[in-house]
Amino acid sequence: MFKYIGKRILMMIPVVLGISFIIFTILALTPGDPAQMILGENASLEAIEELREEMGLNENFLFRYVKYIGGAVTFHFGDSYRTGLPVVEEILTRLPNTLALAFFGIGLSVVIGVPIGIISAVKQYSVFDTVSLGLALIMTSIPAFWLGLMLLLLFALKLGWFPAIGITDWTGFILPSVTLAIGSMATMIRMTRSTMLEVIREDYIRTARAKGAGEGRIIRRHELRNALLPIITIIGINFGLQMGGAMICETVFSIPGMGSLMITSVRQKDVPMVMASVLFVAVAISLINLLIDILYAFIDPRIKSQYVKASR
Amino acid sequence: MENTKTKEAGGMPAPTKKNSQLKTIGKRYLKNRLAVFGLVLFLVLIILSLGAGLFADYEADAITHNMQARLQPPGADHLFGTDRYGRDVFARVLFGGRISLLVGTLTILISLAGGSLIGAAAGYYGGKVDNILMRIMDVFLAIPSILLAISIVAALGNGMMNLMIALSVSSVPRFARIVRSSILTVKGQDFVEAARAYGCRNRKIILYHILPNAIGPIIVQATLSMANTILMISSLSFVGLGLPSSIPEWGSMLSEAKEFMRYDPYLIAFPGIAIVLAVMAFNLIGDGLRDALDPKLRN
Amino acid sequence: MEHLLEIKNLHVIYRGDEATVHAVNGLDFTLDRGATLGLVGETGAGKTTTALSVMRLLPDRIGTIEEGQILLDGIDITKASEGDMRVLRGSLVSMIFQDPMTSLNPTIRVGEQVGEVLELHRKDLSKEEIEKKVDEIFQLVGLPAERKMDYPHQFSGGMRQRIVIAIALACEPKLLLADEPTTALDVTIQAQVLDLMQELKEKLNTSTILITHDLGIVAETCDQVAIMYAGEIIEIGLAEDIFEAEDHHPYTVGLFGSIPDLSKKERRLHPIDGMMPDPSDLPSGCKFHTRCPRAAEQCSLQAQPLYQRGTHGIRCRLYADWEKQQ
Repeated sequence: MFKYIGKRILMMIPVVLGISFIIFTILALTPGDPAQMILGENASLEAIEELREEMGLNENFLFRYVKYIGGAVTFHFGDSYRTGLPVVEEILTRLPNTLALAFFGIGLSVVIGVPIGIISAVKQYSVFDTVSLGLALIMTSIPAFWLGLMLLLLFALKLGWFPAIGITDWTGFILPSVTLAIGSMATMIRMTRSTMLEVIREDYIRTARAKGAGEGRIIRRHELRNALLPIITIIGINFGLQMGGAMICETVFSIPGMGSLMITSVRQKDVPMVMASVLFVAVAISLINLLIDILYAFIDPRIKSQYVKASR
Repeated sequence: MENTKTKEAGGMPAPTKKNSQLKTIGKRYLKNRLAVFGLVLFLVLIILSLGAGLFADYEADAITHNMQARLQPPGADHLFGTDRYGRDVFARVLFGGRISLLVGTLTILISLAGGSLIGAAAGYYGGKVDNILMRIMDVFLAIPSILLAISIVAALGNGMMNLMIALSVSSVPRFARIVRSSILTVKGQDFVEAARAYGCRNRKIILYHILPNAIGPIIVQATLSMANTILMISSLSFVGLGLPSSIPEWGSMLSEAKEFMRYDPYLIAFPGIAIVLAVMAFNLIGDGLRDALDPKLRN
Repeated sequence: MEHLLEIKNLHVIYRGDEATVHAVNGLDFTLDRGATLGLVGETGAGKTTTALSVMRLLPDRIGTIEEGQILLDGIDITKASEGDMRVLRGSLVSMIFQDPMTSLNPTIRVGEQVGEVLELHRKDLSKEEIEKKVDEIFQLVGLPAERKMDYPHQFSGGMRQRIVIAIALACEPKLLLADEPTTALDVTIQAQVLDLMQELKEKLNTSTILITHDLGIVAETCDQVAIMYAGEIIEIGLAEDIFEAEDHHPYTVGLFGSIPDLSKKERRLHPIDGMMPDPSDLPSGCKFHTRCPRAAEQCSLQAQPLYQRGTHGIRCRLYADWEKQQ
């Protein structure tokens, strides 16, 4: 098992390096001189040149990238152009909010979406199936931020059940989580339904029927477990999307998370902050997918047995 | 399973000309009620947004500020009411459709071109080329598209052109993957071997033999990507990283309306519904096309 | 009750989106206790459909038994409730499917998969007794009992088919339906699996319907043979009738013609011209007339009954002088 986990972690490294290189390259295209920006309009040419030298801006691009990665390994991601403080500090206070939001959102969509998908597949063509597919269709088409606005309008402004702004306590998470969950719930319903339908048509289900197993037993013992595997992968893929959705949602609910941080940083051309934010979010997503892969290996005997020698 | 084979033998269309194949696909599509509904929505969308000029005047209704008529509720004069600057919301929603369709279509075309090129090269040449190109695509896919788009906008700044670049870059890998896998499936088939055997040049094989056969999944992906792109355009504009707010665009309209929503909820209702309907139209068409192209996939 | 299985005038259809497929069209045959019947025919002749009808496992909503009776040990399967069928499946009648690679559940240990049948039908057994029984069955099909803790992917195709056989025979059913049990296996493994089935059949006195398109296998293992074409039996008889007698349906002649015979000097095989007719659009009259080398005008007009002589029956006008069956 350790070998498998080790291999997965090793496989993560090139991906993270690749992501950092792409983002670094894109951000290097930013026009304007950071030194000038920090020192303001009236700074003297000498002062700007001095700061450029100090920041290493005169070095060549590849050298700067390698230096950046060198810093990143020791957890130094540079200082914000805006505040002058290390970017890590601000990111670490905000990342948990976004992660929590994404987790709540995906958790909710799994808890509700997966059972709906299963029932839909088992009762294919029934009224339940038609209605849930219709709902899923509408849910995929609603932009999360608009749904957020509508929920905010109804439950916070009109009914006053939840706070409209920020997160003072856990109730602040409810509306944003529901908003996020609805978008990915559609995917969960559709994907669960289609993987379940695939499993239902497998030969081994027919074998189970030929044994004389009843419908309930077939669903519980034979179908669920096999359908669960692809569903777990879908949850992993969805997590990336969910982080993106969470960042947009934050702006609706005025939650201090990565999304609002990145948006302000982009507006103010705070390159180190944008760079580090993207990197942190990307690594967080990779780590979640790593966890999912490991979980997968525990459930799927086909992967497990490649790495664990059975004790017989 | 014997019975499915029987059924296939029974239902398999005779390998005749392209035309009759298109006809069966069309027939299958039209049988699907949801898909037809999507098509109708799409046509309405096209007529309303391309014909927006017939219902309203771009400059006078959608752009010029008219402070005497600000924040008027929906009524006979202004079907969807007016916004904080007295602009007609109905006119802005219509012209907003034009923007979304235009930016969306161009984005899809750019990413389709890029993706096809990369995917075709990877799929056709295989080996090292394939490996390197697809690993790069994997890395791009590992970045959530919204992050990638935000980074690109951060580097290039706001604006329609930059928005299109940002959105295209994030959907290129998807097209590349589809084109590649279509090519890999077609590649092994006899008629490609035959074309190669009588000395077709590589480029010609890709253009005349492989791409026409890969077109189905590409169109499906393009339609579904269109839905996603429309969502992304409005999301980015909503957070102020897309189009400038002077341009009538659904997302930026919502962003502007946010502070007035308590007392003038119509301001956030109409642009939002417009997004939902537009996105739904493309989703329905995409799903319908996929089912019509490959009925076996249909559940 | 002298017959274990009696099928009378069975009609099965599949309703598709575009067309209705007539998979089985008026099937009649009987199977004696302890006997083995070979059901032979091309893909799409309706062999699997027949077996699935006996199991009442036709695809939901699509496949239906339109007409006819299936009497299994005196019970009319076509009228039994789903609950009754669940009791019968696995205990009175079992089925072995074609592909052992896909017919075992990949996430459940094979021992549990065999044990499940016992759990379902032998409520009198305790957990330990079931475990013991599973060990015995594993030995019976030639697998070491300690491998019951493994998962299907850890076995080869031949071994998996042994597990499938173990599942099918765990409750010692009276009827076993084997749907091309060896088609997916290597030739050398085929013989082993067939021998195993033969041996167990004798040990447990199970009647078997062996579905195959391989006449060689039939010659080795079957007492009776039924040849199906387009959902009908066109020739039926004891193995001697089919393999040794001179009189045959032209289709049977064609089937034999497509097997290379090393003892004869002939250089060429004589496969049957043309394809099976589209089962959603069957020809009128004799369904084989479109491909029959001996077709006459009347063949396209009038469907033929089965003409019988002793144990041998043929559905062809050439044997009209034999005794006519209803």
